[in-house]
Amino acid sequence: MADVHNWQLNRQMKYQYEESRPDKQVSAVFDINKCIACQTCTMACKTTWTSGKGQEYMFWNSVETKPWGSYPMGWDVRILDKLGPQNWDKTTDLATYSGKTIFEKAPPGERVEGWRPDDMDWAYPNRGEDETNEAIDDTKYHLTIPHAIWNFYFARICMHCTYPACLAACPRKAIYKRKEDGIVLIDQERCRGYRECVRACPYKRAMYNHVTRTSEKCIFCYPAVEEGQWPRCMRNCIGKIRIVGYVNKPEDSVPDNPIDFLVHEKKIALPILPQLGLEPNIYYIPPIHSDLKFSRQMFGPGADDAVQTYKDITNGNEPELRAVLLLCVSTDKILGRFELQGNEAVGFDVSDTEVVRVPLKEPVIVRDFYDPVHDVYRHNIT
Amino acid sequence: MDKKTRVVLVLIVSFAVVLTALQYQGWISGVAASGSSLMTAEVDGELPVTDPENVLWNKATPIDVPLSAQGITTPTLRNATIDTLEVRSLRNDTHVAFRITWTDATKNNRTTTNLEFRDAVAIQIAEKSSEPLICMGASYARMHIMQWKADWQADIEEGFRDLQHSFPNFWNDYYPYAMGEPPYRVPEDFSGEASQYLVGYHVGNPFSDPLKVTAVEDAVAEGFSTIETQEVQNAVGRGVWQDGTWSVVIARAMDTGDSNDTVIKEENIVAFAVWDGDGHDVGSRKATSTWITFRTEEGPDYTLYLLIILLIIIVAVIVAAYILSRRGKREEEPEKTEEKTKKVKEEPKEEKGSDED
Repeated sequence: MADVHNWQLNRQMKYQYEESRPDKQVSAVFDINKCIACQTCTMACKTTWTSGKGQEYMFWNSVETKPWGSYPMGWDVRILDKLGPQNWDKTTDLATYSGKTIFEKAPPGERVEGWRPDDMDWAYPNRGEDETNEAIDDTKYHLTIPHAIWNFYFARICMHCTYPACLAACPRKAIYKRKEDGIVLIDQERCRGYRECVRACPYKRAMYNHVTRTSEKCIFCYPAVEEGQWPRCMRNCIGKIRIVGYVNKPEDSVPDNPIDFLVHEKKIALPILPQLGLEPNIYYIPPIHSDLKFSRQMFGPGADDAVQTYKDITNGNEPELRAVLLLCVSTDKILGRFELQGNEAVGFDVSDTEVVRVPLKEPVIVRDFYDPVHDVYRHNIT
Repeated sequence: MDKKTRVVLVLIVSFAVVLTALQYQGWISGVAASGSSLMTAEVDGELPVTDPENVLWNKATPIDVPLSAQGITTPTLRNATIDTLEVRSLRNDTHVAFRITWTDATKNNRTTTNLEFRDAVAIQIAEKSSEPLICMGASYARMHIMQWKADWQADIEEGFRDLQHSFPNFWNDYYPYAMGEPPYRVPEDFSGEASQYLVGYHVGNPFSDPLKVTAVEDAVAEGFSTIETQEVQNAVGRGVWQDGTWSVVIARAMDTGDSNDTVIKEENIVAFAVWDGDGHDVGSRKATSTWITFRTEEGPDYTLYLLIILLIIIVAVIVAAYILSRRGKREEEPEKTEEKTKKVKEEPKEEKGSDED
């Protein structure tokens, strides 16, 4: 095992291979507060990549309702249970993880602590859909603020981790992380169907194909990325919860890079279960109406501050944050830079060409119900 | 030693001698020996490459090959559920075959569902080397590996194990570009663009090929993580599972002409590995043996001399038993005489006593 640096843990950790970061790392931020669980992302992916025979049960993109939903069943609680209680040291400027990662917790003879889901575990993609954390009764109902009960929709894809557990676990070295963009892929020519990646990935985003007998996973729509475009699940997002770009290490953070701005500058976007040690590269703005205890477990010790910062947007204190979040799914071009120009958010692609311009406040124009020029009544007057 | 014991002893010795003679002749199965060399037995005509139960296998001297859980590279096998193999080898002028037998209570020959793992066995053959050779070779030591896979054989003998066989009556709305009717046959209904959705198959991964031609993968390796299926497949074989025992034959031409294949000859070294699918053994989670020297050259034919020696031993044992028996009788007689004498000596005493009375 090598010593590598994981900035999300604010410390060195053990990993199967030496630290080898890509030239650029694709990334995305999902604003959980805007997700409506329409599953358009799920179907965009499904119809593009996993409609083959043997892939019936696969959803490389899934949306589960937290706290009860999980695909596959118990993906989060099972690995947390294996890891056991762990701690963060919050006395340092950036909280330092003092517990063990799944690499450090690996039993003798294993590379990663993990578990293999069986076929039935994958058979509950909608379990707990729309259910609240507790039953609605006389005293707890959802119209109070803050909510007495809560849930949130959790869209998940492969995290294209800096330290992928799937890659570490594969004794075939059939999994690789692309130098040019950090996308993690399973080589379908090399894979021999050992399913070590399925066992190792704590997010359970490597899946076994029943017919081809190889393991497969989200490919971050790399053919689109190579053209500067967003992956299918991202560009089809109805709730406009997603924004796609490249993320840097905190010390290399570029403030006008939209992902760096959300992740490093404002620390509003957080990784899922950072304590597992994979340095996942999909970031989440935690839900503001959920139990913070749950959010801290799911998104780490930055959850409280992230929720507060998000609330500040509505108070008018964070115009740049508002600008970046308005760029979500307003373009399908991977963004390299953003600017706040007056009352407009402007997005530039990686070659610094303007690709999107969005007003911070949508202008409202009300027309007359009756149009005398054409002698008709309008169906829509706003 | 009484007469009865001696007769039993003679019978046991005679039986052992006859048994050894029959085993030597290959008329009955031999007794496995734990050894560091595997002698291949030469036979005329075709080798039983697909028949592990063929009587010809009795001609080969078996060896017991102890196995231990692979613990050099991670992930390791925690416990070896199979701890020994019995191995025999036969050859003719051109080919060599190995028969590997082991106890395995469960037959695991499917890999369709998430938790199905195959039973498998592999032979690794290399040139004798002065360099230390470990496991799957190194950059300076290319290993030729032949792995028999239970699921590959099942696909060949019973037809490709498709989705509907593991999940009967499943439904799926549609498969892009597939022709035919549900549940759609692989690969017939997935030609042309439809095959793109069977990615492993589309890119030619041999593990994804539903139409396998051999149950034995012919591969090469130059260390851990490097095993590659060879472009030209030269190995054949077949396994039979019965009453909790796998018996698998793996065979190949001794010289295939393929530069990826080790030419099989005297003093090659061979090693074995086995996977128990029921224990989720897969990849490096396997039980492995140490290196064993492969031998093809036998010494002069001592069969006749051996039979004569055995005959002499049998005769000697019988004669020895007869002599011992006779000597035993002689030893009994003086005892009886002594008793008689004793009786005679005691008689006057009794008479005297009578007088006193």
